[in-house]
Amino acid sequence: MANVKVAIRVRPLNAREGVDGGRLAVQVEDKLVRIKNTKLDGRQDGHGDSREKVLEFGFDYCYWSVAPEEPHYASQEEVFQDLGVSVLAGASEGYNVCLFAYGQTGTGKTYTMMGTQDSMGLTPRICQGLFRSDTTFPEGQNSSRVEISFLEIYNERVRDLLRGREQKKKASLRVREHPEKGPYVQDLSQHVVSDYKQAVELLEEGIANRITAATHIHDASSRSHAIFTIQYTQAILENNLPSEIVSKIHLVDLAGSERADPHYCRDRLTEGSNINKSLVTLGIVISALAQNSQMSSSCQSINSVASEGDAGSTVGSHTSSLSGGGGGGGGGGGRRHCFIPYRDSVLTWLLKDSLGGNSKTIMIATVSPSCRSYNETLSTLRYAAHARNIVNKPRVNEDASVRLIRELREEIDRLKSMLLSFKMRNPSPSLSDERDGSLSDMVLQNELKVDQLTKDWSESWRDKKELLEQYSVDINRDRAGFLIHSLLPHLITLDRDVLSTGVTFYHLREGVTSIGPQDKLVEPQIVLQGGATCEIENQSGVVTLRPLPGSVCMVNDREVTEPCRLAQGSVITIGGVHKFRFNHPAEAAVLRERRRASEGALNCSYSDLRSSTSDPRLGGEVVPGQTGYCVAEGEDPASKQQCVEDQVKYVEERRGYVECLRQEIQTEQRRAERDLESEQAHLRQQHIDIQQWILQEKQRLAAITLEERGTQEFGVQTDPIPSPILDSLLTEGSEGSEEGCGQTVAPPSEVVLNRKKVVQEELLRHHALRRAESRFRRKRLHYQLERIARKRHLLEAKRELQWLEKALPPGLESPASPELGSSSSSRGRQPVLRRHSFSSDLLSRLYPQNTPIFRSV
Amino acid sequence: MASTYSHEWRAVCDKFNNAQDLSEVESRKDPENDPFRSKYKARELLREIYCSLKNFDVGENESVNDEADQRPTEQPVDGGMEEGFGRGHCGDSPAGSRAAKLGAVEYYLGVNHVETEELSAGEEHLMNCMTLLEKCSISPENVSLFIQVRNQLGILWAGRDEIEKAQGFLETAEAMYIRYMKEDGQPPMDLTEFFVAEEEALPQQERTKRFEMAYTHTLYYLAQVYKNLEQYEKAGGYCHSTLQRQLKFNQFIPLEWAINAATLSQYYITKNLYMEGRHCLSAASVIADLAGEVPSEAAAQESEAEAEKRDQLRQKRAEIARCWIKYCLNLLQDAKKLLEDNIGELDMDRQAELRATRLQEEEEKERGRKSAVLFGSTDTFDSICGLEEKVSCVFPVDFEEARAIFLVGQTYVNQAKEYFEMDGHVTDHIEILQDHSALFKALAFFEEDMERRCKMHKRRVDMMEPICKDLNAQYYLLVCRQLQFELAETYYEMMDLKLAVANKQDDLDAHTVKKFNHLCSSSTRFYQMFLDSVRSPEGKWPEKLEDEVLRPALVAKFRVARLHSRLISSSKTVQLENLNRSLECYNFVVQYCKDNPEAKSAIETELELSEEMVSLLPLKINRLQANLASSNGL
Repeated sequence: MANVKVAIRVRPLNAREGVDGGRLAVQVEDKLVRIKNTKLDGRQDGHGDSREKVLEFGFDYCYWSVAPEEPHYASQEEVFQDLGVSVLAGASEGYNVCLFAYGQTGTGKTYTMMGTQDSMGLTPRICQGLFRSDTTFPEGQNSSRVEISFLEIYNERVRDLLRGREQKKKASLRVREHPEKGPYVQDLSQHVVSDYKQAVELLEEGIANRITAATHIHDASSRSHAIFTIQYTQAILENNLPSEIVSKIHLVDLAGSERADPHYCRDRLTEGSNINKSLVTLGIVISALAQNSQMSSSCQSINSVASEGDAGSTVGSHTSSLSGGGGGGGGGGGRRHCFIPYRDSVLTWLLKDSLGGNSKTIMIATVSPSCRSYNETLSTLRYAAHARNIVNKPRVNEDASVRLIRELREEIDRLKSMLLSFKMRNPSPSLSDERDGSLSDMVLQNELKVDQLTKDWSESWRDKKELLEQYSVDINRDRAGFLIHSLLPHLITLDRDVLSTGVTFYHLREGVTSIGPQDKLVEPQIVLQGGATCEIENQSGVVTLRPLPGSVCMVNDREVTEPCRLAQGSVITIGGVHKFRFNHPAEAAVLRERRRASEGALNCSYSDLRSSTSDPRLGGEVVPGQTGYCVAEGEDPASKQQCVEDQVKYVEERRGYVECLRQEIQTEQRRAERDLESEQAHLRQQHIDIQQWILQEKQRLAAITLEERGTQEFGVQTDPIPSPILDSLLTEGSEGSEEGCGQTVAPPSEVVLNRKKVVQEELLRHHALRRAESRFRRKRLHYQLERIARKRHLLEAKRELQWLEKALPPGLESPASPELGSSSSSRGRQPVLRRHSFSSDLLSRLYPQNTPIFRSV
Repeated sequence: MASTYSHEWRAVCDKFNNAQDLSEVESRKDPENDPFRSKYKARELLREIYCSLKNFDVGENESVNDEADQRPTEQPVDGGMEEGFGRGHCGDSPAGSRAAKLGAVEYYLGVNHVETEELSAGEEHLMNCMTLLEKCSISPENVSLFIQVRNQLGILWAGRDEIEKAQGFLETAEAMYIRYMKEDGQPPMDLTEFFVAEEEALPQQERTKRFEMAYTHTLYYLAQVYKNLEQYEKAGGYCHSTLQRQLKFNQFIPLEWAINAATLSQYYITKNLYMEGRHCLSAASVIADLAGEVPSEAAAQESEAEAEKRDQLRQKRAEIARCWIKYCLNLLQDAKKLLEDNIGELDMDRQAELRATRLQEEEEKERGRKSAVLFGSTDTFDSICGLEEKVSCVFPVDFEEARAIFLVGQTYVNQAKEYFEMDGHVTDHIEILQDHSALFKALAFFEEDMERRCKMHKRRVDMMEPICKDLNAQYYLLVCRQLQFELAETYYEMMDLKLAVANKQDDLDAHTVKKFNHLCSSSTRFYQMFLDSVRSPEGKWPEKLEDEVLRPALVAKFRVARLHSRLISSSKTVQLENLNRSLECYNFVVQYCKDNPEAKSAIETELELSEEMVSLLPLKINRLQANLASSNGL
């Protein structure tokens, strides 16, 4: 909880403790406080006791203020620099801030909070800071307003410390809540102050009014809580409209902790002997019981997903208040809630807006270093260590979870089954029509897209020989497409920025490829910005990632610390920002083969091709002036002369591709026709089957009917069937129910029952038929759409080709730009490309991510 | 016993009375800056008494008091202690009597020291008392002292966090009481009676009362000890018997007792013990009425005391009412839990089952009831039972039964709101409203008619929405967030119901769609408000969510994602827009967990679903885009 900071301050030994020889029980080291039970030590001297004597606590700040001459002595100023300054900073940002001092009596709370004449405490320093900051930003004379109030809570009664004597007799002030203004003390005097002096005067007046009780044990001990509240209002202009930021700073000097705690057992002592009838703390015990069971009975019902607990039980969290032993607070995950009718202490109540939500809270616990106060110090430290828990936690109820999650699961299943059915190439009638088809193409296309793009890139920048060596081009007419394989394992950068269109491709050659920032001693093969480093080793096809210390490597979102083998498709994140996809063509080939086998005749080659043309990025390589591209191969940048040649080659390839498309359209067309024909035939057959079956049944029924009665009416029964099942979409499928006329009600008999059965069956058959028909129609539609899409692609490809051909002559110079020469420096940088003229760019704006391809069978 | 009439003895008695008076009465008037003045004076007197007592006894024999550090210096007094210090003085033997007297003084000194925050000295005196008593056997004269000194030591050690030690003393005290009552049973002497003239001896009745009170304290301290030892059931039992004994011996302050009983009911409720809970609450209500009439407003304006009394009475009664609300609410909610199926709807089979088991249990309960600890003196018992009959303590199985409980709860809601008004008691008022809303929600579960169910949720919205708008989030951030979340969920629920109703009637007309979309966006709006509350004052989304809002915020995002995709629109463009928004929100959840892996455990299910949606939703979006493109472009 970032909003609560806890500090510890150790005061000097007092005269009494010094007399004892001043043995210390407390040690401070950086942010740790150690406490040693020296009493225990003495008692068990020489017995070799095994009991743990040193306890350690960690805090946000620890101040050692025991002796001024010590090097790490923390002065008032130092405490202010940490705590006071953050109070001021919080207030100026508009947060409510609350600073508590907590500790046994006589441990220096008042000294820390108020200070003495010679060494000011936090409160006056904060006032000072408030007015100082005011003058340093003199944007307006009245840019801020400071109002001060000072109250005291003694025995749960609230008293205004700044109202002189006249109100002393008055009863306790009432603490109330206002819907707009929050918790407030009714009739508490507010004093507007304009400078530091006034503020301090009020502070002193208040202190003088505080009750300081003298007891036999303590020379001076505060027996009341004092809250000094500064309301700080800043006037600002927001969008040229005047507005105010109001923040409250509560500076709280808690009474000696044993008094501040209403749960403290001392109370029941007095009560036990004095007030016979009242068992004050019984209530506390009972409420603790109720609260305890409230927390422990977190049942694992279906709603347990809704962990955080329930609304309405805020009381539970409120009561674990300042004084309520922080350990119990929070954590209540139970479903049950009950009401615990014990009022919060006035203090907690008044500060409740400061104990959670939007306010910043600082606790400073003061302790004595002396071994005499071991117990008190330990309990203060324990309390302070728990202090964070005093903060209220919001609990929200989430009952709707169950249903929502169920719904969503259903939807996910639907989407998944859609995908599955596509993969199985078995369009099942159970799928809703709208979802079948093109959807699933996207998935495959997506999968292959990155792969493909990478290949295209490298392809165009390589000489023919290398190309032949490293890639095999497989043009398979039967499959109406071709596949391009890079044989080397490689990395492709995945850029998070959706607007970035470049693709960077790194080969992982045999041996070690190191990745890291350029400023390293040994320049890495792959240069990344930031401190991300790692090594990747390719050992005859086995690629291993070796994370280097100081940089976080994640593979598929899992952090790796040991070398790990990379698998095809792994996503590698280095240093949290750089993401790569790892491709292992050899491995992928095996996988792809497997998949292809399962998909039968279908192959993905079409979309492979398709994606390469539809991507606007492609144009860039050959467009003059498109120097923003960075093709960064892991090593060995292609020679410049090669580029032109490559481009010519590329155009040729494009031509081939266009031709390819054209052919594919024809093949697909033929295939579609064949498919539709067979489908049609199947439908026809089904239809005939049904007709025959109906005829049979009719005869059968007629026979039965004749036996029983002379009437024959079977056509009638079949009649009402079609209309109810008529789906608006399926109207034309209703031929199956031609023999129709009005309905007559047959008296119930065996025949009737028989008929009913038949009717039902017929109904089912018709339904199946109709579904088959609508499936057929859908298919037909798909084929049409697909063809259209293909034609469009073809058109684009053609256009692009023309354009490319035109662009070729000037393109001869462009690749020779210095960009390539300095590729090592620009390696890894993501190119930014903005193109408006390119034809497919328009398209890509319609389809921001993927170009749709209709490709169902 | 001539000495008791002697002059010296009288002086001792006077001193003792004086000391008692100082300690019990005067000390309350001590000024704030010298809180223990009278106690210190009393201490001096007790010391003098101690010396005198010593002196009375010394000289007779070798009465070397190993436990008392003072050397006898004065003349012996009569009273024949010829046997000397044998083992096990009988309580009424002179030696025993002397030991008891000395012990009593030690006891008072011990208490005095403890009360003035000098624990070690106090402990020493109390232990002296123990040592003195060790030599005596229990008798009516000293049994009170036996118990009370142990009570004190128990508290002392409990205060030092040595609970086991305290437990030892207190359990011995308990055992002593039980044994004494079994073996003897006559009203024992009170401690104060050691130092009064015989004619001033207390009447039997008073003796009993004081002795019983001491034992009540023993139980009461034991309750605390067991609580600290985390033996909650035992602690609960002791709390209950403490309350019972207070009532039985008429030693209680009505309001305080009532509040304690009401709180105890909350303990029982959380333990599923509704019958006991109801009994406590009924007793609380009845006893609270004993505290008298609420002074009128006019009277309150005239006197400060009346004003305070008025406030106290109204507040406590309102608080008891709130305990009743929780009783009704928990009873309904628990019944709901028993009856709901895995999607939160009423399960008919379970309903039948519960009905059957309830019949069986009824009788057993009746029997158990007799053994259950009942409250009430003779005069209150009937009214407590009367009040109990007004509300059931068994789980409701159908709407009618649920409604009866709901109505009782609602009555108490109104009663509680009378005192906890919005103006001045913002958080309390809102908590009551939230309970009221929860009552409606629980009741809605039992309602089969969906339209009516929807109306119940509408009531919830109506009571919370205006308040949520008026509240200043700077001061009531937590409350605001709760309200926002609850409103969002209520709208969600209404949306679902509307859809279900429409589906049933098979008409999804424009009006219904509009209504549905309105509910859907209202729900989104409140989730959004919740999410906005997480932003910094400058409106920035925090890079890292605070623990306490982590889950709620991510869940809200997740729900918003879902809500976006549920909006109905005939326009493909709008659909697309909604889906994209939805995807964005799912993405947020996934991305946040990626960036902050520690958040994963907080929202496992939601994250898993979000991840799937992030991978699958683009399909839907692309298809829609394709549709859109083909319908536009072709």
